[in-house]
Amino acid sequence: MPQLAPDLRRLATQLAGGPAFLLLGDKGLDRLGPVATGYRWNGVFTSATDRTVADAFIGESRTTTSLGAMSRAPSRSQSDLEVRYLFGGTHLPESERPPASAVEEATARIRSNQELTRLVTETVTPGGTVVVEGWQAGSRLRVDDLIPLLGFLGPQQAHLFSAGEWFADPLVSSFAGRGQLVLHRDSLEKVLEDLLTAGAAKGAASAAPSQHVIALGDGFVDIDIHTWNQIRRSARPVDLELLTPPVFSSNAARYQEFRNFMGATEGVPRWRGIAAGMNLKRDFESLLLETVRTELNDRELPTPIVVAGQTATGKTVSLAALAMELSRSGEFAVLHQSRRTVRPSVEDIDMYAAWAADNGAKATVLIWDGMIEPGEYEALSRQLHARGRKVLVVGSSYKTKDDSSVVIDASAELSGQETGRLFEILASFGYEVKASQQAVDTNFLAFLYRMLPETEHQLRSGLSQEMRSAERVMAKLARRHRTEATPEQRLTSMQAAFQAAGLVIEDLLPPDSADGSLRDQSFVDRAPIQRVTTLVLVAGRHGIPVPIDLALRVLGREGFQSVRDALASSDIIREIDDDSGDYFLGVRSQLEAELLAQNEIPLAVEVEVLTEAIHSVRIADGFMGGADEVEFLVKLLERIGPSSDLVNKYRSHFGEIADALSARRIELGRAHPRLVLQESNFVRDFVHWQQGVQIGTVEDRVATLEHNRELLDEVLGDRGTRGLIRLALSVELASTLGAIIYEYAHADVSVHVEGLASRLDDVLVAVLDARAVDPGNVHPVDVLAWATRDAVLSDTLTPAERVDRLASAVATLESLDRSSLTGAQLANLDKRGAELNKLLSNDDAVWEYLGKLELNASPAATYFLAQFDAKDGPAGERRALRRLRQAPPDTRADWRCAQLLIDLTWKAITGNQLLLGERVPLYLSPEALEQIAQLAVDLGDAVLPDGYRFLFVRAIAEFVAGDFTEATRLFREAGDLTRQLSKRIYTRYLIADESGRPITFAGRVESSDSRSGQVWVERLGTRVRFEPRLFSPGGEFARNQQMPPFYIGFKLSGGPVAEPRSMFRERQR
Amino acid sequence: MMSGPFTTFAQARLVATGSSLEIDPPDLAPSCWTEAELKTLVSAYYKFFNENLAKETSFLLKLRPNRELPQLRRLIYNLRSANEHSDNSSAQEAAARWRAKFDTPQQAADALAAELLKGIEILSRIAVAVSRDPDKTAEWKQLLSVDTGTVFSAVASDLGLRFRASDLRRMVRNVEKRIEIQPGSGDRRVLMAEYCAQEILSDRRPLPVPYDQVLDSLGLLGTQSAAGAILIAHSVSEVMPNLRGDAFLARVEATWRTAGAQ
Repeated sequence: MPQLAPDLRRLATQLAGGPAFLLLGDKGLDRLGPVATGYRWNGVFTSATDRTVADAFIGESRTTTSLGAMSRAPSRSQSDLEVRYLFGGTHLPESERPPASAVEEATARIRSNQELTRLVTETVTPGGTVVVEGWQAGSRLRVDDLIPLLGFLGPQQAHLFSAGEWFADPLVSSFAGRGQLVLHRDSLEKVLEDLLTAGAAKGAASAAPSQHVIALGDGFVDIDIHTWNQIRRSARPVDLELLTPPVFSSNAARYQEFRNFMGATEGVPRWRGIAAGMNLKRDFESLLLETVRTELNDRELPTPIVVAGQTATGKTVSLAALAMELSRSGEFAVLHQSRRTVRPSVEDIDMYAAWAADNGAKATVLIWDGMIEPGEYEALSRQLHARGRKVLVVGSSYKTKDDSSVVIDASAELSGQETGRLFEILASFGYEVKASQQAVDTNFLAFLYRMLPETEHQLRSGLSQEMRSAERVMAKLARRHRTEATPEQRLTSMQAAFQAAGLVIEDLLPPDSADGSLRDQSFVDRAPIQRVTTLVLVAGRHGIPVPIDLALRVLGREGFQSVRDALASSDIIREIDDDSGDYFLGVRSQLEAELLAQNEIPLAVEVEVLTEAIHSVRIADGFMGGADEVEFLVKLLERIGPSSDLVNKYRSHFGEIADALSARRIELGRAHPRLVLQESNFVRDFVHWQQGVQIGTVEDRVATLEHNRELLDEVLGDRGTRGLIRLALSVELASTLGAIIYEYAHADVSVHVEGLASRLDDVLVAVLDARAVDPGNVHPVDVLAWATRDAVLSDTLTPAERVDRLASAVATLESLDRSSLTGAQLANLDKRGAELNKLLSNDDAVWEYLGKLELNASPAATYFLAQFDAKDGPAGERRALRRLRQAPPDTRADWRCAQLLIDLTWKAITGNQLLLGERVPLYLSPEALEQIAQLAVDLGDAVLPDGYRFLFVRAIAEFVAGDFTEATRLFREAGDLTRQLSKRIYTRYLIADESGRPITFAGRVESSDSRSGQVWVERLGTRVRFEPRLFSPGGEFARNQQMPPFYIGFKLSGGPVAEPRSMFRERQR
Repeated sequence: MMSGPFTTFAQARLVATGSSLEIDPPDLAPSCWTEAELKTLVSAYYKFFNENLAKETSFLLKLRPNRELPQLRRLIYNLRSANEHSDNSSAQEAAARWRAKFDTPQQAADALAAELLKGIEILSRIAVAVSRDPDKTAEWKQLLSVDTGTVFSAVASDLGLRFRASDLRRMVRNVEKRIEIQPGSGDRRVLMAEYCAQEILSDRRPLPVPYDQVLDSLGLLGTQSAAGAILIAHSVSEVMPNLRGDAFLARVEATWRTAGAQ
């Protein structure tokens, strides 16, 4: 290997230490060869204007995206390389084209300088490098523009190549003389070639043989670059690069890896260590694997699995180990996401799952180590299932009582066997510990790193004596609390372990040069390096890393240097990066961060940091490249917010946080839906807290909530607010209105309570809006139930209002598809139902009112009376049906009555509840078809909250009756309304004969590809969709080929479908 | 897109053992107009299958017995022996019988390539199955622990270096040749690692302690500074040739700290 000159060695070290950006002059491309264009750049900036620059960087493992200056936040992705045209590009949209006049030229120059300023103050990061090539005097990029900007960077961060002519330039040479710019006479191509030959730099992006390859089926499959780039926005495919075990040349190298593995930043799995088998296998991992396999093998739509436990219980490592084991098997396509500030998108996972299924994966497994509420995993899972994807979501969370997912407990105690296994691992490195079989707190795993000597040389020299006393402290805690230790108790034990080992927790921080106690200093008054640690600890104590761009904005001018200093002088602050180009600052261990934060960061400072972060966060809609700072902020707010277990600690500051969010919104000039949701949430809880501690008047608090309502109305008024965020905002609106009702209901002065009924109507509207997004979601229904309860209990509604609103609440509860709910959800629902029924049954005035209403036709009364009848067996159901049919048209069209009428009619026709079960044989006689048609006429324009149900019934009836055009229209409408329902892909009914046996059909293939086909059914005279793979493993059908005999079923997601008869028989078994 | 069988084998090996396969794939679409070209092809196949992959084929066959692979090995052996040696009559007879089946060298080459392709497919299938079995991968790792390519990659990693495939293969070949010429004594793996380090750093002088101990004592294993530290160790060794063991390490450490402080 040729020896490298010292300056090149320094360059190699610099390039290895962070992202690298290439700045090309007007003719810079001419100076690049294959080595420089193939290098793993994190971004290219050019003063040229033609597309050849972007095209030159396209390769098998890399795509490029051309952008104008300041058009969006930079991404730093190496596989989807951003090429910034500083002065516009001829191939870009009109607003980003090169300047065509002097005025445009001036504007372009400003934008170019802004982009370059962002490059040197944020994008490059404190460890990154800017490399300039092909820059000549007289080019668009002026020397007095560029050089002072490079002066923002630290030593060795800026390099100018082919710099011959610049040595004589006074400005350039002055910066070079101060060490702020390194000049190279050689070209970048030559220097990189030398570095590569010396092995001192990573080669071309396509050099690694294991890149983007996953184990699947009988071998391995390449993930094409476009699929890779899309899925990397949401998760990381567990590919060969992660699965490949390291090879160690010596015990010293192996020990080094072990220590790095033990000291890995929490929440960021160190795959090498797991691939080398250095992880302690926790007892719960066997159960986790078994549960995962059961879900994947036995269920078409696997239920999410959540590993729940306190911090430092080994969840991250266990989930990564699970990902590796499943991926290595070749049966499943496995995705992993450990970034706590990334929310996997349904579109990306859907795309990847489809790609994986086409390539032979039995299913896709998304392992999302997100430490979030199980509800979020369920929501994602439901949406993926609704798209027909067999995706299992495995997540992590803090301790949870939720049981709508399968929850695996990660105990906070290492059992005796686990401790024994841990010491076996230690012994294999020569770390001799007297064999121990006692249980210890899992903190011990986090603590162990502090006990391991830095090198094997030190280990062999016996520098590891103190561990036993720390172990005893943790064992004592485990004995005292068993598995029930609180986070506070565990923290105390960690502190005690530090003391027992002779360590001082504060020593983990960079040295403090300031006078006086750090605790007494506000965030802005702290020294630059302490501001870095304060910022990172505030987020780190909640397990959340800070996007580096945001950190630099918060830290200001001194950010680069202070981040570098903090990273160099402390082991607690870590830089986290990955191949997608996102950089974060995080803490090594959440527990250590918590201990340090307790000592160094008073609550007021923490809130100050939070408001600074709110002020500085970059707000963008959708995926724009780069770390999602809004997601970071939302995660952090959720960890301290009204739904968190830390709510009591932070609650008194919720007003400040809400104010900061409000100020940011006003400054921005628009409302970001996710931040509005947070703002409203904080406001609502703050008002609730104020009420509890008797702060302010009812009027004040209601005024605040009214403001919230207006804000939510505004965001919901935007039709662009769709999907799950619309659902969440609608529920929040309903909750805000419910909170107003609560305020009035608990006010002493009755004057406040006028119009409570109309408030409740507004809640109902919001709830119906939410249910239109996700009819299967129980939260909006729950809000309506408790708001109705509070309103009724306020004793301010008239009997007529009480009956009406109770009817709406009960009808909404009744409309939920109970078959898709878990036991806990059903129990909660039944509890709410019982509460409402009790309110009704205890209300004499209401009964008197209902009694009188036998004489008139109030929809609410008719509904209740019919419902009471229907609960009285088949005879009662007939009575109820009669009552509803005889009601005036307006009463029948009331949504509550209409809903009940549909359900009872269906039951009368089929003997079964509507939409209960799968592949239920269905015979619709001519009379039944007539009844359904009549019902459609009777209900006319009735607006039904769960309109998809009757649409589905009508569509089936039209199909059976032979009006296929109308059936198609109705099926499409039903499909559109059920996009969030996971069970929409189930085949609900099969066309059957009079005896109830499914009818066998025959037909020939009209068209077919690997995913779907159409079969012409002669008996019906229409075509029906089918899935080729269900009929033959290869899934190949030729046009006009005769299909094997089949049944025809109906799905909410797509209407009629031909299915192999075996699927029904398997179901029967 | 599914990988080809050779790539699949290399990928299975990598995921099972961490070792990349540093050999060129065989030409499976050969062009042989003459008998001489056919001979060259046979030699290339022999080198590839009967030499480079010999140990691993035997290992994988032991785990998953198969009749076709030994037959292929025998066929290539016979063809090559018949070409290279005149004293192996049974090989010559077998080769002649096989060659008589084909009218032209091209037909024979195509048939042989098809046989080899089939062999690699079988091998890759076994390799994939073994790569999914933790116990068997451990055996495979053990087998490769003295593989020159494997040791070289590990040493390069210790030195914080990463070479292009072509450079890596060239240096691996150099180390292999040196081991043939200077087999040394003692632990073969340790010797191989030293030769690799010397090849990488273009310095064939031995250090008084293994290079990895130098790096470990400085806490520089796998870092960008590792190669520079070994060069300093060589300088110390040259200036103070009598230093050994911990005394040598202490002096290297002191020199390194001094150099770093500048």
